[in-house]
Amino acid sequence: MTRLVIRRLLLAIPLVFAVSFITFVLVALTPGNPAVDLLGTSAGKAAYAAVDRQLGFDHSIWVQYWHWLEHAVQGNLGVSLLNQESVVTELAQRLPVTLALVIGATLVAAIGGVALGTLSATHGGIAGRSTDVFAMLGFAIPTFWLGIVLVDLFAVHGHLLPATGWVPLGQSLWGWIKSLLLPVVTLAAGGITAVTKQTRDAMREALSREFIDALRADGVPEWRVVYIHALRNAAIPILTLLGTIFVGLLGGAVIVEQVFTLPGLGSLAVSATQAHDLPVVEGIAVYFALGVVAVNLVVDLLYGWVNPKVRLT
Amino acid sequence: MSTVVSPDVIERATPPSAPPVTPRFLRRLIRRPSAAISLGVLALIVLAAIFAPLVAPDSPNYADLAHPLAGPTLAHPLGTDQLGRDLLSRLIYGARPAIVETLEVVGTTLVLGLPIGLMSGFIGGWFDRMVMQVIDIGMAIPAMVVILIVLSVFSNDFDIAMIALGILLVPPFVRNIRGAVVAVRGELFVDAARVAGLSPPRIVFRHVLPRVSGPVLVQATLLSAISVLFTSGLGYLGFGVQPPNPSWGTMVGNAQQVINESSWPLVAAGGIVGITVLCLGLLGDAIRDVSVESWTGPVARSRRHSVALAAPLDRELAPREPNADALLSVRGLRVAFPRQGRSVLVAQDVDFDIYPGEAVGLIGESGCGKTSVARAVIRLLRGGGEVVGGRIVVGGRDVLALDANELRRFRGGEVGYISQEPQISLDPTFKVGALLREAIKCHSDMSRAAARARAVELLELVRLPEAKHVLALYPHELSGGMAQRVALARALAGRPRLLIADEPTTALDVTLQSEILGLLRSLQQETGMALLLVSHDCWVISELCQRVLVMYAGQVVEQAPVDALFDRPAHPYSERLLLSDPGSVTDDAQPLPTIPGTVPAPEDWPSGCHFRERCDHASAACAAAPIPLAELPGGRESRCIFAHDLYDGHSTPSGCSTR
Repeated sequence: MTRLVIRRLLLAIPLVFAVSFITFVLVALTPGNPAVDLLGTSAGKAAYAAVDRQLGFDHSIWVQYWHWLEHAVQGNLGVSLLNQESVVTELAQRLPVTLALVIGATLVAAIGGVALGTLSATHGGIAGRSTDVFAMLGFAIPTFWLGIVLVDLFAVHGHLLPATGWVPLGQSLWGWIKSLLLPVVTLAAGGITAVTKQTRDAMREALSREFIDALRADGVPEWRVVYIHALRNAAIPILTLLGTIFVGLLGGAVIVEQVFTLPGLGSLAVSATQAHDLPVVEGIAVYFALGVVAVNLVVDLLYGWVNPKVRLT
Repeated sequence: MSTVVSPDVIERATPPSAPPVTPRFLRRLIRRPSAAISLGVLALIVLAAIFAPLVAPDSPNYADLAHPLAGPTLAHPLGTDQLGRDLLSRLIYGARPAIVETLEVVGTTLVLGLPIGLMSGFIGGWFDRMVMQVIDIGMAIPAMVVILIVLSVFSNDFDIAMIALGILLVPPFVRNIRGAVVAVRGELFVDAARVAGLSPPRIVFRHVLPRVSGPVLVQATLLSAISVLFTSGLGYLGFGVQPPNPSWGTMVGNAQQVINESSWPLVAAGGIVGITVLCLGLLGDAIRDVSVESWTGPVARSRRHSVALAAPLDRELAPREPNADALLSVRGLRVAFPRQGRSVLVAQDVDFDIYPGEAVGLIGESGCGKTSVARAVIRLLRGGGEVVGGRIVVGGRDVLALDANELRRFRGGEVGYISQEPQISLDPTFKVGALLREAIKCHSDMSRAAARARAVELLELVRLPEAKHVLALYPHELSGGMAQRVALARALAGRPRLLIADEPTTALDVTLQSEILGLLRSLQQETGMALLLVSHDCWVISELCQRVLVMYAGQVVEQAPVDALFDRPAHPYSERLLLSDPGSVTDDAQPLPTIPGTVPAPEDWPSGCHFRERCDHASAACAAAPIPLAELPGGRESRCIFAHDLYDGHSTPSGCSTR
């Protein structure tokens, strides 16, 4: 098990490295000049040069990346070109929003999808068909559109929930939950579809295996047969899917944060890209890559938990 | 999956392989309503976009400021937006960028992904491993963030962004195509092409590609759906087509601004995206189903002549009353399975009794209905099988009348069951200890510690030494013999009075067979439980049982004490069965006699005697009417009109002694 974790971490290093480097090169090639952005177009040549020197832009891109990397491993991702704030501080403020959103949506998708998929696998008939229809609709409805419709229904007309905005957890637990509810449901809708389909297929396969009948023959109650034994055997493909879904939801968060005007990493990604704020974009890319690594690690650990054969290798 | 574009969407199950896309394939596709409608709608959207100037009622940017946010009217079939622009016209013109962008994305993915996927699956080896490593990393990249960066770097050049999106969708695409190719690679025609000396690229493109065209098409529809969702999401964020020109995504954004005044524009703009994606999804599903269908072949429609729920055979024989002295008493049992939409009997009017502590064998060739009868006793028939007639009484209780909870306690508590394949009959994800404790707790309220102690006791009962060590093992760490002992321990956890063992030794080697049979015998002596042993092997039956039931084609054809039957079979089928037993051949040079022909499928049982078509003694009388069981001396029964002649006439073929 330990070896598995170590191997995963070793594989993660090139991923984080590649993502940060590619982003660095891409953003450095971006048309536009940060010095001009900062000083306006009327400053003198010497002033631009001074800013360039101050920001390190007078060096080659390789040297610039090396400097960035040197600082990054010490936990320093530089300062924002726009407001001179530390990137780490800025990202730290926004990380909880995106994390709560994406983790919440992944959990909702997992629980909802597994419940619906299991229902479909064990019942068939009308239950099975309606899950199919539901799943297809979930796939077809665009996230941003669903978000707007939900806001219209529950906030604008229903006055049940806030339409937009963010209440930090530290300020009010109930307010936090209310501000998260619609965005999480919106983001999870698409994920539920995929998890439902995967769960249904995996559960059908698991329930057709020989040991399921052996359990029934030993007098094991049906709920244990389905939810303890079949589900655990069906868990591997579902977990794999949840890993990919998490990555997909990180991207979806960009749009959902925009719809609900949440101050998360996604909306920062949009504004920072538009403003060519290199250190911030770079920092976001690294954070997302680290998030992906962490999720892959969690999925691997869960593999080992549900399937003893994995643990041995 | 909406704009949350996780690449897993195109991971949805694709067939392992499919035949080439032929006109026949297309005809079958069109015949499905969902595919026909989807194709029609998609064609309509594409045609309307191409001929937009002809079909659109208005110019997309003409602002009729006098009629903002009008509902559907004759002049504006879908109404107008806040500037009075005709929504239908904007949707039609908005389809143009959507189509171009989709072609760019799907084209990029196919051009890059198809060769990589085909080669990776076909060549295998280090190339395949390398590709899969890169793909693993590629799948972990959040597409939306990368696209935002690309848009920024290339000053909102949307064509480049679409090509980048196409590249980001390559990894899941390659993974699917590779899987489909690997499934085809081992097939005969590929080997034949190799032997014929064709170059690998030629084999791949001429022979492999057509076979994986089904999965490729399915992936292409899903890629298109993702692309439509993704680009409309970007449009909503303000990227891509710039105002005032329409795109589906910007139309949603515009509609959001006036949501408080009218929700109609939102419905129209979201609806077109939803309908397009829905149609692409349904089309993909239909293509997948059709290719799977051609892969597995059409469902056989022969055998219509067969009689479902067979004839009123044996009806004149009223079922006898259950035997009150017996532990298990089965009367007139009929078991049916659904086959091609009809119900087919696999066991017919089966009667037998098992007394407390008795060991009874149930013997016959494969496909005679032995397992169906055995499993019917605990109401655990597979594949939709059900008991359609007769009675099963255990300890005075009617098994067929038990409710779900009573049935649960009955299984394992009154009657235990072990099956042929010990290793696959244990849940691989639980340790032996957990599996045993579960079975124990299902039949008694015990503390965890007590259940653990009982688990050790059970393992000692089935002669597994080092019980404590075994408790900590997983099923895949057990040998076949150990696994069967664990399965046995589970079956004994509820202290059943009858154990049904269905071919318990068939999967084991000969030395282990003797051990397990010895174990069953001593367990019977220690616990006093009765045993129903299902086997096709005379020797196994003779080792353990006092009485034997011979089954053929769904019927019990003979019933007798073991020694008496092996001495002097009173049914031609029993006789042939004993002669064909490997244990009966003393001279190794002699070829083993076999029974000519095969057991007929349940739909094809002949009238009268089921065995007559394979029987040397058969006469016209055998076909005339169902054969009743004839009683013979010594408590024996035989379902043969010559039973008395056979019983009196001939002497022993004597097969089954010991090995």
